[in-house]
Amino acid sequence: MGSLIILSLLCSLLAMTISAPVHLTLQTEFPQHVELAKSLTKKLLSEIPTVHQSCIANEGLSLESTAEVKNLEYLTAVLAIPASPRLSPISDTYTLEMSLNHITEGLQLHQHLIQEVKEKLKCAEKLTTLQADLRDLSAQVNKVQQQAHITPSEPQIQSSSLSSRLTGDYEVQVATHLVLQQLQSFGQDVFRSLRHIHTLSSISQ
Amino acid sequence: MNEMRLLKLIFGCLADINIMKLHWLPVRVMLWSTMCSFTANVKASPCAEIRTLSAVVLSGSPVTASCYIKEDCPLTKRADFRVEWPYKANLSYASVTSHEERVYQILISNLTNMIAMLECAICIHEDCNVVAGMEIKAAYPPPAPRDLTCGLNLTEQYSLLCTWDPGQETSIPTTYKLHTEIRDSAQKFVYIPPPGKHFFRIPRVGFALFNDVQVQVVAENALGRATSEPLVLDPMETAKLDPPEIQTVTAETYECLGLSWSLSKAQKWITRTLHVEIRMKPMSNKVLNREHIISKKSKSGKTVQTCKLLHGMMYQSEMRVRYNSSPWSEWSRPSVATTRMKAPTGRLVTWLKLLGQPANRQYEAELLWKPSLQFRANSMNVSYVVSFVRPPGRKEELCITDQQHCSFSIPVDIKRIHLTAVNTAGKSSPTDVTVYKWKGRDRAINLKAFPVSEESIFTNWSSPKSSAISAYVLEWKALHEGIFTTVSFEIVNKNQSALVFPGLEPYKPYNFSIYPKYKDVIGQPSSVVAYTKEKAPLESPDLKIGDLRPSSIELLWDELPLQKRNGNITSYTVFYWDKKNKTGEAKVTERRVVLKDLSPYSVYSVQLMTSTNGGSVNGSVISVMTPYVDAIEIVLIVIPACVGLALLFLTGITCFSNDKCLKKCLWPMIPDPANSSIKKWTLTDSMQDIPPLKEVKDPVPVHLSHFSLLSLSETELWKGNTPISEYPHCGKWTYTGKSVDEEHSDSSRDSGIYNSGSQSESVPYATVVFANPYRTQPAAPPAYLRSESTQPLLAEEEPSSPQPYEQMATQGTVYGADHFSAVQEDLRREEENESHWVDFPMLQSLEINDINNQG
Repeated sequence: MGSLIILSLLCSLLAMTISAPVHLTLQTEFPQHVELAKSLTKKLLSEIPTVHQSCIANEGLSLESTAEVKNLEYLTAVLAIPASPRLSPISDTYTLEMSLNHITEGLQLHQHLIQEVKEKLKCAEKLTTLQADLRDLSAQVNKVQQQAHITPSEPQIQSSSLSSRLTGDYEVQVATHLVLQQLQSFGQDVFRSLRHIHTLSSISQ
Repeated sequence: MNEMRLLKLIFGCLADINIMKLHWLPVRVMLWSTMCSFTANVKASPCAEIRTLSAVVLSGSPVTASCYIKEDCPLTKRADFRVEWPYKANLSYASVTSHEERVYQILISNLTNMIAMLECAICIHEDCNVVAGMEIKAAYPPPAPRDLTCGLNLTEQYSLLCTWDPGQETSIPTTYKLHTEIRDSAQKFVYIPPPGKHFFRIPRVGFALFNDVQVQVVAENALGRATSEPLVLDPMETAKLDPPEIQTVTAETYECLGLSWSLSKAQKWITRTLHVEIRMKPMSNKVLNREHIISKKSKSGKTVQTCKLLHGMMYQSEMRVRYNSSPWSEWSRPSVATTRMKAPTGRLVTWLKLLGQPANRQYEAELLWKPSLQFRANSMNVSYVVSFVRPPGRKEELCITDQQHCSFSIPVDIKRIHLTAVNTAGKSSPTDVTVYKWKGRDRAINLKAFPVSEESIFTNWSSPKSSAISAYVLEWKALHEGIFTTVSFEIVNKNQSALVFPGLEPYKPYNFSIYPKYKDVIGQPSSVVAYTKEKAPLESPDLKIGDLRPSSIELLWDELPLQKRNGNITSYTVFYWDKKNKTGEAKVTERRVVLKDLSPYSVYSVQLMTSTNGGSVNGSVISVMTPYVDAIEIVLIVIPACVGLALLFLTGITCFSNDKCLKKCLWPMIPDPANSSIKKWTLTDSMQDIPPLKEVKDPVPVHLSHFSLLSLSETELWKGNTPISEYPHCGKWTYTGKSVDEEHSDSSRDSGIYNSGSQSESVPYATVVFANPYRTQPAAPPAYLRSESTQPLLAEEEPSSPQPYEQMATQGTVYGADHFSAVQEDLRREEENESHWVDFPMLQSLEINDINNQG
């Protein structure tokens, strides 16, 4: 029994040893593009509060974590804003390719969502700038994918039909708030992911 | 205008009708109404129309223009009308036959004018009316825009400002379009700037960050379009970042400072490594290479290490950043920090001077020093200790200072002193300074100084050939700084004979001195004052009036302070002029001048000009008035002069009026032996007839040893030197009275006058032969001279002259009253008389009588 346990542990250790390192076949400019993507993510995150302040007039809707959180579960359900992809640290189960594809999908999703709420808001200029940041970040992630020899996933036509559910100004405000809030959270996950990828690329190189 | 001519034509036709039917009033009314309606039609519908393929044509290309005459044109009612294109001076064209009726064409083969006005006219005989016109423009297609540049503005509203040069302006409107294309996303945008503007601010959507964007400008007008060279850029590489912020500066290791920095708040999202430049500036004037810039690569929020700094030095740090090849940001706000300190190291260069001679066995000395190339103070604040060791090893401090010079007293027996640099981290190894005494006698070295530029002076000197000089010490100081001036020095090799002093200020005086340094002594210095550049003095001294006279003015002025001289004062020039514009000038080098030959009681304007080698400056003009001629002065001059003249005049009158007196003065009475008789006289009687001659009043010690009335031949008189030398006074009685000794001038004058009267044809008949004073009189035989003349002794004009005898007697009396011993003199005279008077009976009797009288 003891020998079996020891044997099984050795096998597990061997498996872990084999699977643990993330083998990246990277080009030399890979870290630079990851770094630029990080910069753009940071810029995106720094822009979101400014855009929120410009577009959301309702004082009860705030991005600050300390602010009183309204119970918007009902409206969230009614508006049915699509959730962003879930990002995780790179591992053997969650590969670099998956991570980068999820990042790309999430960025595209939010570009569409912002486009939908932008048409119903007066702060179009700010949202356009945010869209440009999302576009540039997405382009930079694509470059990272190219450097990692990853075929970018086909952009999925996401028809959320959010605009059809924005029946009033309040709904527009809430929807915009929820989209920006979701984007902020997703952007933070993207930054963490990119930082992790950058670290791995530095180790591998 | 054309309408007016048309109306005129119509009115002309109607006039003919009116003449025919003038008396038909109803018809006239109808015609008037018809005329008015026709005129209105003409205005509403022109007769012709000019057509071309385009109103804008390529410059230099041919143009065909057609004039279409409308059917209803009233000007073409008459059959003999023709269509013409009025001549344009600057337009050459030719008519082209048209196949269409009522169409008249011309061809302009080469339209080069920017704007051409074509006109079509209908002519009847010589009367032409322009019926249509058209403007044609000749132009070029737009040139391709050049010098397209873009710059990213990273302010709140990110934008990419692109500018271009449109090239040569065309005469027709040109539009510009800015095309952008984001390379990877293939997104394209087109922007149209406002007319006349050759720049455009592309909004954030139109470009990407960290991605290449292609920008192009397309210019387009009626004749074509042109596209600029495409500009491909990463907008971030054109952005001028905000000045970074230095957050902390730390000194963790020797010679290094760590600068923790970050980008501005709005640009902190840029996490990529940036190019960084750090400007380090020591906060000490003592450091020569003061500023240096260090280039690094760093990320915002990181720490940059700057090393190879001086120990214990306070540095002012500034930083600027850029992204790849983008423009540098402005420098950050400075931050100050001090590197870690160490004890001073290295040696000091010293120059010790003994000031004068020792007093109380102590020398007054001054020590100057400066860091050698190897010296490192290793701290901002370093002090220096001058000391010497007195046997048996007792150290005495002479001075402690933070300056680089020190004055103190040292005992005369001390041969060596020590200089040590000290800071809070420790002290340097001492620098030994040998005490050199002054060399007693030394040949001064000829030091010369010449300006090289506004900031430097070249000095050279000649070294003595047989000199044992081991080195030279050159010392210089700025004289204009007064007592606070810092003395600098340089020790140069003995073979060196020139040195350039940089870092000087123009128009300031500097004193340069050179000291020859021998093996164990210092030679005498040679000094020179020089300027790097001279210019006119800052001002001219104020004039002061000294002695003021009717015809002269004395002017004085103070020395100009060194700070105001701007050069060596070469001369002072005083200009003066009066109200009649009579001018004059006086150029002097001293600070005083006397203006002469001035008019009394006149106002003179005076101005002083001070000159250096670099120019001159005029002082203020002052007015001076010369005084009247002073009455007291006149009196003081004139009255004594008048009195003197009057006295002279009176004296002259008196003398000339009394002829006898004058004669007595000028021609003394000489006795005539032929008419002489022996007579006894008394002193008082004789005195009455003798003129008051000076020799009588003033007794002169005449040492008569013999008196003779005999004449002596001239040859005998001058024969031999021995008698004359033995009786030196005899010579004084000879021909000229000029050689007569002063003390015998009276007697000699008598003889001289006599000789001059007799001249060469007569010889003196009598001579008084002198002997030396009795004390020096040797016992030599007395020499007397005998007159061998056969001529009368006196001229006719002196028929009776007994007075000379009397004079002789008087002289003898006077002589007898002299201080000498009368007894001895008389005894000796008696002996001599007895031996000689034998040959002169008459005189012997005279002598006898005299003796009797005395007895």
